[in-house]
Amino acid sequence: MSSALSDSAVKTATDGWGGDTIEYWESSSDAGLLIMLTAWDTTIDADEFFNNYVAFTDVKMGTSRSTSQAKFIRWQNNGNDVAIKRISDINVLILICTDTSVINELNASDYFATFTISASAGSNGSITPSGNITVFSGSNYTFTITPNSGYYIDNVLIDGVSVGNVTSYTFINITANHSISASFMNYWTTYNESNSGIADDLVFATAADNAGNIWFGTSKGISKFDGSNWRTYDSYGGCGVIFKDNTGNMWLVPLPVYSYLMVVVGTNYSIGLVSHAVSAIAMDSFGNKWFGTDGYGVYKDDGKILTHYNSQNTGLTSIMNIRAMVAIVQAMCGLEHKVE
Amino acid sequence: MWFGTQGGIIKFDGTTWTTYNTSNSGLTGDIITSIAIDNAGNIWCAPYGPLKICKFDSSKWTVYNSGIGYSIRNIAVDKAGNIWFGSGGSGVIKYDGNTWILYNTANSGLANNSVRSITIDSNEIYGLVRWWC
Repeated sequence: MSSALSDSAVKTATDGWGGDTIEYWESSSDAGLLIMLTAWDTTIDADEFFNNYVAFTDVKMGTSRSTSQAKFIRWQNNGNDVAIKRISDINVLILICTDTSVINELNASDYFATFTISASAGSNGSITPSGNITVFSGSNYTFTITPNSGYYIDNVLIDGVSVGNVTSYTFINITANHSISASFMNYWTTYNESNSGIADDLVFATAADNAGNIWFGTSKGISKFDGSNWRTYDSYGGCGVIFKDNTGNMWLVPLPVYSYLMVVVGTNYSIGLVSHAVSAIAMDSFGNKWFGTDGYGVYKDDGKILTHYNSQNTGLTSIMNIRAMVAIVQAMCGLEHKVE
Repeated sequence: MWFGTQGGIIKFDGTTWTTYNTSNSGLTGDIITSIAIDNAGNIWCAPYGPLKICKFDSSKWTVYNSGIGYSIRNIAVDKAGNIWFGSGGSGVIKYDGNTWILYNTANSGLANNSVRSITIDSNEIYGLVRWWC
């Protein structure tokens, strides 16, 4: 370029240059086409290059422009054909050809049509690249999503539709404008022995009571957290099962896994299940309390009568070892409670 | 009442006991360590073993592939109807009826991928970490 322009014009034209593509195509009739796609850091850099390359080509071709539009300028002289096209804010395309029909055809066929992908990130993370990206028709383009430290990708929307918490996304065979946006979150707060009042890091059971406390059954005691303060009850040792009944009472089954002793907060509850390790508790819509055991079947306490269901009276051997229980809540019974 | 046992699921309606297991239903395994009922009344369970989660709508069983290699240890339903699954080593999965999203130590800051118990507060998720590890 310095063969036709001053040093300062060349310097101005080439600042911000990088990320280019150069291809040479040749047809069966030996017509050659040199394609140079230049990519610039900023619109101003692309402007400077476009204007200076036009001035340079005016000198080199020694002929007037055959087409002169704001963003597409072309020169034709003795079979040589040069075109410069501003295809995006930061991209300038240069075509140099020995057969004038080639550029005619490419330009007419919309081969160099471009689309815009709008990429944006919410707070606490970034998407790369971002802003309005110009891409050629039929090309692929990949975006990378990166959360800030301590944050995680919550959702990525492509044209407004979620694709989940992906770390990158590639548009394939682009034939339209698109958008991509990412949002970020900090999901989890960790409470452990070193940063909170929880009794132990080994937690077997959790439950929320109606007062807004969260209860944690740990290997070394029962810890209650009201959102600010911790309190640990360790007189029963650890706790393997916690259950909130329909009236809001909290049921705690102390360790070892799992004890026959149950504690309703504030009072001990005993139904004589000595050595019958309780593995699960439930309460049905009628207020019956159900206790599943590991090895001794199921007990139902209706407040008056304790009914024992085992393999003999149900015919089911599997009822002896209960791993989980859940009660269907029947609205018709009129008890006021919800499934939590 | 629904009971998870080492021999499938038992339903008791007050008079009749019904057993659902791998030989008479769509259950994919017989060791049932957790059961939950969603806001629409479906029974959710995850038989011991990788990948499978089963839903029973009182007439048919639907099996979902959780996409993770560890057994589900516990299931919870939040007020919005999302089903949360805590696994023995793969973190927590959320299913909103359409999409399964996995939260683990790598993608969400979960303190440990072994989640023994999930309790859902009014608007927060307390995913309690550490099983035996």
